[in-house]
Amino acid sequence: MEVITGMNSRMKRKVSNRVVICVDEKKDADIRGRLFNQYEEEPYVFQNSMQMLKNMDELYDKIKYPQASVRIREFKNTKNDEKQKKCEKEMLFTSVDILENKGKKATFAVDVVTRQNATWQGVIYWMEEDILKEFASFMDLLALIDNATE
Amino acid sequence: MDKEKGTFVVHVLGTENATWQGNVLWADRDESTNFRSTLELIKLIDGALEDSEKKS
Repeated sequence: MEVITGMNSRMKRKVSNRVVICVDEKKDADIRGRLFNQYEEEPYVFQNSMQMLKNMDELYDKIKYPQASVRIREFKNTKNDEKQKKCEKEMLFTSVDILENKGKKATFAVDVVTRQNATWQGVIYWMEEDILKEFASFMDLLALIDNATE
Repeated sequence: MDKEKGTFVVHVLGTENATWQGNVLWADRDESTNFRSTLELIKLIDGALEDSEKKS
């Protein structure tokens, strides 16, 4: 089945920070799979949603898009200097290219449009079912993915 | 089970912006801080656990 035909037109939009979440398995009530972005050849393999979260957040910090409206707090004495490193990343793929990747269980394309209120807002597209939903927080996003992969 | 990694007490005081707000106490160090979202809460706890591991 061709990816482009019938794909929601919102997904044809060119963005610089799309990620494709290929869910390969659901284990212990959590998702496992691979994460594709536009800046790396190889996917990031995640064993749970927290690893997925960290990788996505690192990406948005590295490419500085979307810029977070607030800086995430830390407990005292947990300074991690590596987080402050600037990183210039070269875009290797367009936001449509990465839609070719598929998860064994489900595939989601996620565009985080803003990072307000110390969380994420954007759209998630469930590729197999052609359903597009907006999310107002990371918790929203996780609930949508969890619901779709039941 | 492995030795305990950390104990946190979470007070959820609000549910604005489709997420949670409140404060979290890192009981092992008696340090408390506020959080504005579940994302921030997770990162606070994760950062604390990483720091605990480094120092142990």
